[in-house]
Amino acid sequence: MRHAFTLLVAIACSARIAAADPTVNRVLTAPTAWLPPAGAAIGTAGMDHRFDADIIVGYGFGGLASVELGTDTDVRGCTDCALRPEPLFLTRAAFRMGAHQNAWFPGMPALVLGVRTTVAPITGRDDFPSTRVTDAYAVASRVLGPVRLHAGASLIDAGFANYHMGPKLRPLGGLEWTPGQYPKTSLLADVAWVALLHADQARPEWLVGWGVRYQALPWGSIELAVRHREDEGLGDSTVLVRVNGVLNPAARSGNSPPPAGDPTLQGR
Amino acid sequence: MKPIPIIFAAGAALVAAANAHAQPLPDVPIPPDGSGSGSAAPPPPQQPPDNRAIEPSSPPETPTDPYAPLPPPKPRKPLPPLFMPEVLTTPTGFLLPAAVLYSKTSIDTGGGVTSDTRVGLGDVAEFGVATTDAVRERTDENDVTVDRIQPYVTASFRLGVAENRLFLYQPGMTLGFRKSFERHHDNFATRIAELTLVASWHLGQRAAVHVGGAFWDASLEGDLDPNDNMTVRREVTFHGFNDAKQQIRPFGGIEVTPIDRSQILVDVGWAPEFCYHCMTDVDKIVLKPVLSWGVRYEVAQWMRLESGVRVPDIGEANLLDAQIFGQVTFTSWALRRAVDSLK
Repeated sequence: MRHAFTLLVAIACSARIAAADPTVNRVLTAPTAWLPPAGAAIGTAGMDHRFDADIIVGYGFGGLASVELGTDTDVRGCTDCALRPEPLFLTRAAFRMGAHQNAWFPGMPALVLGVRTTVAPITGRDDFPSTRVTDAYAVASRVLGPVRLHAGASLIDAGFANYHMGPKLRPLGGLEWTPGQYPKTSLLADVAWVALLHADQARPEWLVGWGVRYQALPWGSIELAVRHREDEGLGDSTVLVRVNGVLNPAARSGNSPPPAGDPTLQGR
Repeated sequence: MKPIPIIFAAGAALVAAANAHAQPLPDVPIPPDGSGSGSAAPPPPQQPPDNRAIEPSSPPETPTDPYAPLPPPKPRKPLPPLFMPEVLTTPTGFLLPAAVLYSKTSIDTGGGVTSDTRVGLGDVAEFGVATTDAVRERTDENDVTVDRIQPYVTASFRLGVAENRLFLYQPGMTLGFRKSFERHHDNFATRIAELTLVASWHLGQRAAVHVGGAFWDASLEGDLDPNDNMTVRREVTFHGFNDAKQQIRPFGGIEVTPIDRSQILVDVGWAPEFCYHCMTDVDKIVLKPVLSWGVRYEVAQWMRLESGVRVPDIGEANLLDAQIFGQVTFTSWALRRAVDSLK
């Protein structure tokens, strides 16, 4: 966790030299269809009130895709599930490929096909050896005035030791609303499904989040959010703070104009 | 003494000398004949010692300027287009140009590290040595954790004809053969071999399609019957099943370039999987479909970055085995230029 906090600070400091606005690739948990511009490096780091941290860095690939690598605690596991499940620290990589808004025809939403999978089956826990979790999703995003809508579906698969859950199909969605009076502030809400590991099985559980994002600087934003999980009481909800940053040398030199219609890439 | 004529003569000589000094240097080099005449007349042709006649070096009317600027450097021949010999995992019908070097290094989230080095031979063939992590192994039918055997070293040779070479709209075609060195792993010895025939078409400037077929062979040697309580090594081969249909598989891929220097790639290929202790021999060597998609980004003329997703067994929709890979490809025309400079 100390390393996570160090990286968080490093990302915040390195983002100072960025020239483009952040390209946030998820609402809170649900992915969006926004892709970073070619050559841009993005970073996200967060921590909740239980000091569970997540850090993700990514790279915009040719204007068509992005590659991400990071660690997160979205997936949890429990051997005695009468108690609260504990998070599993998973190192995961993601590849997202898609098209920007209006790329093929006017009015077309941004589309992304993404896969996120476990890099190293190291969870820091002995009760779930060789844990592997994979999400494959398709999501569409569209700007409708002050609102940005995201909708899609994901295939969730998980396994540990010799257990294999098999792919489960679940919907996902999100909403971002930027009021005209507060152009730097967005209200966020989303729902997504993540894997929950039991002692001898696994299943998807829903995760609902809501919060606010403040575009404090052209190169970075900060989020404050609350997330609720299935089978948890209101008192077990987590409160998290998260920062996002982008480093885009191409935009700084004027070689990479932001795609039209992508609000996350235009100056606010 | 007649001082006046002497002074006049001396003054005339100085003026003449000054005039001569003010003249530009003669265009014609003074022949080193020691005469000092300054005549532009060429020396008479000299007979070499062996009495062979030589032609005069230049006619007297074409003097040379020793201060003339150097002739402009010979312009480099434009490089032919370079099309990649692989989509992501499957071969294309395009060959590397002659004397072009190609090197690809790849890593993935499954811990695989592979490399592929090739050289184009005369615009009609290609030779390469590679390591692959596509070959997989499992213990028996109940083993759900399929592992990869790596590194698996292969050598390949491909020959073919470039697109539109024989006639208009003729696809690029290659006949390739890839064979592995014998790999010893967990007391088992395995080998693979693959014969491919693939055709590739460019559809306009921004798309290409690749379609082909592969004829596979493989062998597995070891103690394949653990239940008989005897350690007897034996070998099973793919061709020994006498079912050629099981050895033939189609494959293909597409390349789309929606943005300059960025390509979307999708392909479907096959890879062998060994099952050491499966009950029947025909289950000990099987071919599994591999689906890959990704993006290729041309950072420079000599460097390309690729990233994407590879699902090793798409037939079982096993997402847990999906791998996200990143690879960098370098191409070099240095050998080609060196060869051209010798011509």
